[in-house]
Amino acid sequence: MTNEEIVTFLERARVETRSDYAALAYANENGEVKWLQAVGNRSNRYKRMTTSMRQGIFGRVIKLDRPLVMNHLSIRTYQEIQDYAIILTEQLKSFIAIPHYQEERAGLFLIGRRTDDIYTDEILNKAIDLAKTFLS
Amino acid sequence: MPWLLDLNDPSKASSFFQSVFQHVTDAIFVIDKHGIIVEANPSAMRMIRWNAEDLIGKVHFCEVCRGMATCDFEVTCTECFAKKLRMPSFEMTIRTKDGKEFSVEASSTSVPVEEDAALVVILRDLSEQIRAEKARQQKMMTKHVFRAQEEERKRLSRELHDGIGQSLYSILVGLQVLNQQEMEHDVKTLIQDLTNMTSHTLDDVKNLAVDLRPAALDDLGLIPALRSYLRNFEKMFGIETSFDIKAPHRRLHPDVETAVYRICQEATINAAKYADTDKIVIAFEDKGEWLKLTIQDFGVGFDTTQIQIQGTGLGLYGMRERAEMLGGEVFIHSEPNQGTTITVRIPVSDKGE
Repeated sequence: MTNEEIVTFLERARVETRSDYAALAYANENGEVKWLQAVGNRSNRYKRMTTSMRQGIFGRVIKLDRPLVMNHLSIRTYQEIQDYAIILTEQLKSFIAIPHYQEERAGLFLIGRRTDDIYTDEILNKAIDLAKTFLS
Repeated sequence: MPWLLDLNDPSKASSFFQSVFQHVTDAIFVIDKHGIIVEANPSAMRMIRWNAEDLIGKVHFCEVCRGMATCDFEVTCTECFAKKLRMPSFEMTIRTKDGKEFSVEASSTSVPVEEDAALVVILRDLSEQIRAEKARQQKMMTKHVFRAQEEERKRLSRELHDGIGQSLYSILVGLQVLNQQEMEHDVKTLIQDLTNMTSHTLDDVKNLAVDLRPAALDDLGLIPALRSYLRNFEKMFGIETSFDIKAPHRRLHPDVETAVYRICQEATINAAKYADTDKIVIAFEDKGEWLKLTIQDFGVGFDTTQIQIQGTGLGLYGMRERAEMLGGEVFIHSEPNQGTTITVRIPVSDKGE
């Protein structure tokens, strides 16, 4: 996918899932995870963020190989601050994280809301469909 | 002192003792056999905030005394001092007319009066000393807790790094040697996967050890430990940091290095959590007699007169505790939309203690 295609996909996903934020991250061969692109972002800090593919949301989602939904997330402990750095930075209250692979590269598709609206199963299924259709 | 001789004269002695009763700073109560306060000196009146007219001959002492402190209870009425001939020193909780309760040091003596006996109770306000003592104990306790926590973290960190870390490294080397042998392709792939997994686990263990307490803080000192921490912090939160150091090459006391490291960690995490800032500027100055650490962000700031506890509130508290433990201070300067600057000053000796 070209950069333009990625942005188009993320914009579409953001609208269709009624989210405020959508982003894509990939792990490189050293196990480092970087955010490739984001829409609805509050800052550009995501571009400088590097995490390990065994830690945080990425680590959990890839390890379990299934989507993760968290509504009304409360970040309190030091460990949570580290794990949910992107959620904190983008001031998201709820998120859906979906694992996917592109040419054997592990990736994460993330959508999030800053409002109190929670993510329902219907939206989760929509997000999974979007990831299946456009990301594999 | 020749004037003491005058006390042999009963009338002079009486007026002198009257004067002592009126002027001593200790509160003196005289209580009859029914427990009614029959006399009280001005200090007593001041202490319990009653006036003589309402008190003398009218109020039972139990209205003033809430009980004694014993080994088992903070306030109790069992084994009341009034039942004993004398009790030289004990702690009593009293209640003032306006309902305020506090503890005082007390002594009581039964004094024969004609055929009867009166109880003289002398009270001394120790609330300020007790408060100071409690504060001192609290400080000591905090110091012990912080030390114990750091010691435990150090032990675990070393164990992870030198124990488990070393074992994983040996396994990794073994796997690499093994993989150089002639083998079937499938086995080679499996060994390569195991090698990668071991290497990742080794990284995880090292990161965990650094998170607990970086070995650099003990082995290399505060500055290298902070540099390394800030590098990781930048990666974690995408927040740009700059670190300005004006300090001679010297090691400080471990308690001081730990406190400065933890305060910096706490302040930067707070900034990442609440400030919504793209940049943090950290400055460390070692002036010989004192250290100054400032952590400045350019985020949303807050009104320092109306601090709203958003998290546990322990971040700020922890920073203050760590600094005050070493006789230092923490200043917070912030205004809405003007960012936040946290300044920490800690006195040190020539030896860095």
